[in-house]
Amino acid sequence: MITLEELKIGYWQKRGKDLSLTAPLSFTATAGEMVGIVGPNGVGKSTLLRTLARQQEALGGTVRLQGKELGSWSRQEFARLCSFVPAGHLPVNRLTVRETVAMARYPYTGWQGRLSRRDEEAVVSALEGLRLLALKDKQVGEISDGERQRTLIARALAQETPLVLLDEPTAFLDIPNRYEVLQRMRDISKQEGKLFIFSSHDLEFLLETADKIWLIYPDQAHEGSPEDLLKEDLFDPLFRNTGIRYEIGRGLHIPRPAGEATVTLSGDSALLPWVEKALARAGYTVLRGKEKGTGWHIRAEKEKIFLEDEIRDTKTGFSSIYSLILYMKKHFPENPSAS
Amino acid sequence: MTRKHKYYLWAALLLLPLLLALADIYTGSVHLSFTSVTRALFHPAGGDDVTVILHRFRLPRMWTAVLAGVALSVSGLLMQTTFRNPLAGPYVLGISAGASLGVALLVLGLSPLLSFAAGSLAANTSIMAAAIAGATGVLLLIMTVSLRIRDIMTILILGIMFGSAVTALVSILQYFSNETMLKVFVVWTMGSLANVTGMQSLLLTLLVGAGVLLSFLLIKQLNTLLMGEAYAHSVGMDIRRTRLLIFGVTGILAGSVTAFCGPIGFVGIVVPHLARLTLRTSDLRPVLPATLLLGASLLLLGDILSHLPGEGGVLPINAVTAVLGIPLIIWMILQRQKLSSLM
Repeated sequence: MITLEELKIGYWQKRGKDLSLTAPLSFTATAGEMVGIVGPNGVGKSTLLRTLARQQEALGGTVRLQGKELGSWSRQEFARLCSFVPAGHLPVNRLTVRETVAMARYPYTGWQGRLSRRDEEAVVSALEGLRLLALKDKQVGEISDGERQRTLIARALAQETPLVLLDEPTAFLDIPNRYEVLQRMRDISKQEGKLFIFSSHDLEFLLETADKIWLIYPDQAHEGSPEDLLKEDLFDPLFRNTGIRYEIGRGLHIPRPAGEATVTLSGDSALLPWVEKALARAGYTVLRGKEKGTGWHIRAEKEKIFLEDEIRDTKTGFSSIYSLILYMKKHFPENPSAS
Repeated sequence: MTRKHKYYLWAALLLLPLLLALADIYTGSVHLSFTSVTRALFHPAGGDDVTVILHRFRLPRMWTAVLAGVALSVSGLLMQTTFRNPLAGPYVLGISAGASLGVALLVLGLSPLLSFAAGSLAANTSIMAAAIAGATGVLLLIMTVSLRIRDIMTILILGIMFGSAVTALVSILQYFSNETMLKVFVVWTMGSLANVTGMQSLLLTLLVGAGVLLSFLLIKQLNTLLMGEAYAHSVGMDIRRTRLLIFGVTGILAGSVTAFCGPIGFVGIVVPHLARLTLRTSDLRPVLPATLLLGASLLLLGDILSHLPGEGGVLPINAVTAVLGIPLIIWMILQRQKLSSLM
């Protein structure tokens, strides 16, 4: 449905010089897909979306939308082909959720802006699609950030365009709302064959929900399914040698420096991996199994955690991981976090 | 709000300007009895003093108050919506500053060459012409600039800067002018609803009527602008054309009133907020007619208050609207805590 050929995005500078943000971009996307735009901060994700939404001009190259060049669609035609949800908050006003969503019918209504039955249907179905019917008469200033973001997406849907562009649709949202917004978009793209192109910093969610990723770096660009890009380690430059990597089945893995003090850990409780994680964060090197000679041994049994001190020959029980860590920091001066 | 509530609300909004208009013609700096005014109202042919006062002074003044109130409030609403700024008013584009410059150039700059008595018809007409020329000049400049500049906030800042620069020029002219002419100019800046009669009244009616009609035709665009320009663009609105139209309409409304009555402050800022607060919505479809009715009411009230000193004279309308408008703005800020939530 959309093809980018050697597209150059950025801003014009004085005397005809242009400031290209990225290498020329050549991407494609087809109807019914969720396409996620990924790249480091400032690489031009928003600029690309704004260029595709015709909010700013391209510096070079071509974009074809349904076979025709982007700029050759008339203003009215384009408004029925492509809707856009810009980044950031909605300007403050006293409109209701329903009125905000109804704004999307602009290209279909007459000079008075009066909604026909067809328009009303489109508004109601968009509200329904994003579970906003119960909120429809609330003012947009009174609802939560997640609800407001859903309102803005519903507004784009009510415009009934085959292409929907969204700049950071999951910004300002908590985790359940992020998941829900992306899941709704995914359902709608599959059911109605819409193409969603959106940018996001939520790599984990993106890799789970996007059919295709447009990955942009200042000097190179890649496209493909998330797995295509993962297996080539193409996301690594995003983390700039911090050692963070995406591991299959585990999600984002954050490496920790090896601790100076060593503890051993054993037991059959489900608590074990949680205790291990907490100890690693507190700066201990954790060895699984019971080995003599390290000095400290931690055993997790059912709901209880026991700390055995071989040198002082004591055994203390704890009911929470927090109290265990607190005790260890207090009683072992050689504790690496304290030094 | 229930349907019944809405019905009463609109009945009150319609009755308010009518009652105030009646109160306005029954009161004035000269005391006239209720019965004599009523008689004169229905028998315009009578040649007595009461008929003359009513038909030559009070009725035209009342009508001017209605027109000025409507024009300033509606143009204020257009500017607040376009700039999405709760403190915008009819004069943010520098229209009143332009009109002042026109008048200042005439009164203070050219007066040594011309000689006319202050207050004469010739003087009034030439002051109006100068104000129209000044306001139009500034408006054309701002419209030209707005074609080249994309960001609406830049236009707002340019409008304010430009207004300040023009005001500075006016100060220089004031400094070098003689006392008599200075007084003529200062009296003009205080505003007056009393100088618009006959043909001028008809002209002002036509201009304000056209401006209000055009505003109603722009409701769909204005409503869309409430979402911000990026959204307006994404639903296919021609932002530049819409902006030019809105600026043009604001110019007609605010420019004509300033030319005929002098600059009148605060009405244009306060009334749109009152309308939104009363109706509890930003939707221009109800807010625009409510602004129109409340605008007429507020300036009628201002006119009634300006005649309170009775035989002692008439208070300048610009001072009265400030005294009325500022407490209203402060009240709204304190009520809503932050002004941005008023939009």
